[in-house]
Amino acid sequence: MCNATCLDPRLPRLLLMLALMLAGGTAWAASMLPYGVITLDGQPAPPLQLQDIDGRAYDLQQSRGHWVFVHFWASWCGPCRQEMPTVAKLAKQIKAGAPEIVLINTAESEDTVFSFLGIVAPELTPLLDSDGQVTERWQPRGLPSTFLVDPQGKLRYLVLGGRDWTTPDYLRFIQTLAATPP
Amino acid sequence: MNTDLSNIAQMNKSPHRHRQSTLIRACVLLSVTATATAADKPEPYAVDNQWFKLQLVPRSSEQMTAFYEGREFPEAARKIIAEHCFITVGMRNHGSQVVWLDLSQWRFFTDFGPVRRVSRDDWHTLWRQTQLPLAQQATFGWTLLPEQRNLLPSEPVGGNLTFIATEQPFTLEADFALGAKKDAGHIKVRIDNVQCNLP
Repeated sequence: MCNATCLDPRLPRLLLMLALMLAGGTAWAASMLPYGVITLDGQPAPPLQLQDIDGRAYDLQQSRGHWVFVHFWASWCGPCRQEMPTVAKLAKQIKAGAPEIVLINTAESEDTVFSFLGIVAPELTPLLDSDGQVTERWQPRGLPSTFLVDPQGKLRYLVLGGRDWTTPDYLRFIQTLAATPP
Repeated sequence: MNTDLSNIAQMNKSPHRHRQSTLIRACVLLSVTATATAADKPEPYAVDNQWFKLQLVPRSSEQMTAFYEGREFPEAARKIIAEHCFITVGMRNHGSQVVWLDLSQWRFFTDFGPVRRVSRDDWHTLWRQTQLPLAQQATFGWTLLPEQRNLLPSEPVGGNLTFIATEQPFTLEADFALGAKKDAGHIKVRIDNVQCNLP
């Protein structure tokens, strides 16, 4: 007769199945990343303190507790110009702060940024990396590039090149991040 | 004038390479011919193999100075730019493993000797000497081809190669390591008769 410590003889097999499911699940999750999204190793995000085009100061440190979409762009970059309207639509479609969208213009003048965004996405307020030195510190692999910074301030994903952020795969990805508890 | 350009894939023959035999077979099978039609003006040069696509587009000094004038570069800087040869490179990894772009493994030469490439560090020194504002230095840097990049599957990269201007057609030989640890062989590409787009 079996007492409370007696193990079900099927348990080892069940545990093995569970382990395989978990391992498979991780691989599945990784393979479900949308095209062009690269998983990073979770290093702390470099410092990011800039002023926006309206002169307001921003510090990434103050965005702990939620995901941040840090997007580097320049108006001379063709893929950036194509992508920006979709970033604007993404900003409208997601709930405020989920994730927070932070645009960083790389080394262009206020006039250039204003005249470009005024036509393409007037509702967006970019940060101005006027001398390009913040971009140098972040070292995106090209323009445009988007880093996704987790609620602890760590770099979790890098999204290379331009894309339509409003397609279902990317929307689902962003919404899933936003639903991840801090 | 049509010019046939040969693209040669070769393998690192180290005996302990993984998947070596598969790659050797792939390389033996690889027979990609890149063609460039050069009539009056230099045209794009292209290589397309099972690992990546590579394209070179010679730019005229008018194109380059207009681009940088639009980015608010001062006249002195534009004059320096106009004295150089710019070739825009576009590349995309369309294979399943990492491809290493490493400009230290690229050679440019004519029958008479090497063609002098102006590297990112050279430009950095030049712009510091000419006191180009940091914003323009940063912009210029983003328009250069990276000196080194581990191109992930499906990842593109682009930017300019720059040279001391030469009227001589030259040859490019480039070596690309494969694999995340550069341990899955090498692809060698050769493009002949590359020409700067000079007036």
